[in-house]
Amino acid sequence: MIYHQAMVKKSLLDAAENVGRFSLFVNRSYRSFFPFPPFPHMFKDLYEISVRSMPIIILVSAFMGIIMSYQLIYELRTFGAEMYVGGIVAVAVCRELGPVFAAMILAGRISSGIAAELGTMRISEQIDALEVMSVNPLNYLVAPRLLAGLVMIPMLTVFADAVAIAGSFLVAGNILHIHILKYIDNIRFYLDSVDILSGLIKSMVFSQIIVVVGSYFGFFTKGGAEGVGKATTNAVVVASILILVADYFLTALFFG
Amino acid sequence: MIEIRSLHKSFNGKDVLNGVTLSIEDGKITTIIGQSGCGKSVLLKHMVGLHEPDKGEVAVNGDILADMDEEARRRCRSRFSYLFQGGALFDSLTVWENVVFPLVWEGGHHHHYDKKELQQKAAETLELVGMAHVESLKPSELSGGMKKRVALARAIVHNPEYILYDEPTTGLDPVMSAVIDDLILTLNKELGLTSVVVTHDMQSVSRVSDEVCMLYGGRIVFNGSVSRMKQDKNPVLQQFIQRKNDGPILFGQ
Repeated sequence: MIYHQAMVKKSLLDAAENVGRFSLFVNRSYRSFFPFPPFPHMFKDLYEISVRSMPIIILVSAFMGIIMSYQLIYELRTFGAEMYVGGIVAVAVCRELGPVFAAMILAGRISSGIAAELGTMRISEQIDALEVMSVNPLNYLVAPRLLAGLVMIPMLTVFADAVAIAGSFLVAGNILHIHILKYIDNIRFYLDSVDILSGLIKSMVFSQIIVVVGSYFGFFTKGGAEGVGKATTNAVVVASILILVADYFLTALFFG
Repeated sequence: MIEIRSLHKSFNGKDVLNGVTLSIEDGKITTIIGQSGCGKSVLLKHMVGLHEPDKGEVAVNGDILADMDEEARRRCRSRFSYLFQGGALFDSLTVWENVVFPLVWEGGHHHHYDKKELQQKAAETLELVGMAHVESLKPSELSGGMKKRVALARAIVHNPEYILYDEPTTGLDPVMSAVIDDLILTLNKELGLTSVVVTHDMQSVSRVSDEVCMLYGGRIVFNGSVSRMKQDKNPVLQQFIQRKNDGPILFGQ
């Protein structure tokens, strides 16, 4: 019994320590923005987050649109409302599914990549080397990625939304024989600018979660190759959870 | 001069440094020897502020590291170079970009230099460590010895006053070890650098050291010249330098 109490106490203390350390890390990361990272230094991160993520984003978003369309047409037929499929898909994708799906995919791709890279730099003493050379590792390693994520992830989200809507048209056009202009008209009738804007704001928040969580786990990696593996896994799991939690609060804020 | 006074450091409740007091004199090569895992690298990292002491203090030219604000610490660190055990070269940069990194990011701020000028500087510095014509390679394309020499080039490119070597010859063949020893001596004699070398390579110790310190049980148990080291009666020191199995140092301790 005493053993279990001690274990619970230790787990709670560890959790509290992690939350505290994470908060300090976030604070220090944003304070490290100045001096502003040079653009050529950011270019690699911009490229990695955007161009390299594009194929998987296109694939997942297209299938999301296609499958949603199929499901909706099947259900809406019951009420004779299948012509509204375009509007329903567009609203669902722009408000919710586009930002969340893109963020989840990028959490798997970007958070894990950052955690692995920074983790390897930590265990091979490259981060210590930066400190010895008076370079703030957060300014050099984290700030450019935060900025690159802030610029590129909302853009990718808009792109994901467009691909999903196009995917949904492929199905709707094929099954319902709707003309593309009528489909777009239907979308314009139901989709408000606030739907797109809320999705964009969500994706901005998600971008910071993706980068900061990956950076945090990478930065505090210890224990060699095994530690890098753990950091990578933890980064993806925690980033995904935080994205969902943030999504709940942001949805409540915009539409609650 | 680097002064370490009553330095204590523990990790997860395990005492690593237990009251280390040591002075590193300017212009000399001081070697710190001791068993693997006895805290030599931890001691070295305290000298440049990579670890904060639990108790005690580290002073550089009389200024205590722990009392320095960020700017003072940055200025202090710019006088140091640190050769990490594995080189700690940045994987994402080429060899020449690694070498000139301390110049480009001098004082923690990014400076714009002419690319050709930087490449020229990198080539000259690499020439000093016998590593010409590797400028455009990535660190992953270099052998262990080459990485150490490139790291050494990076360490000397901004003319530091102090250079700290963390096991510079570990994992290298005898010839490459001799090359590194010669470089340490050359840098000390020709550029007047103050050097602190952490190692357990006794041949290297005999060759390069002006002063030798032995760390054992978290304390300095010997501090003196190479000739005094050989004559000293301390059984721990003698067991270590004579490479004996039986003695006060126990296997796995």
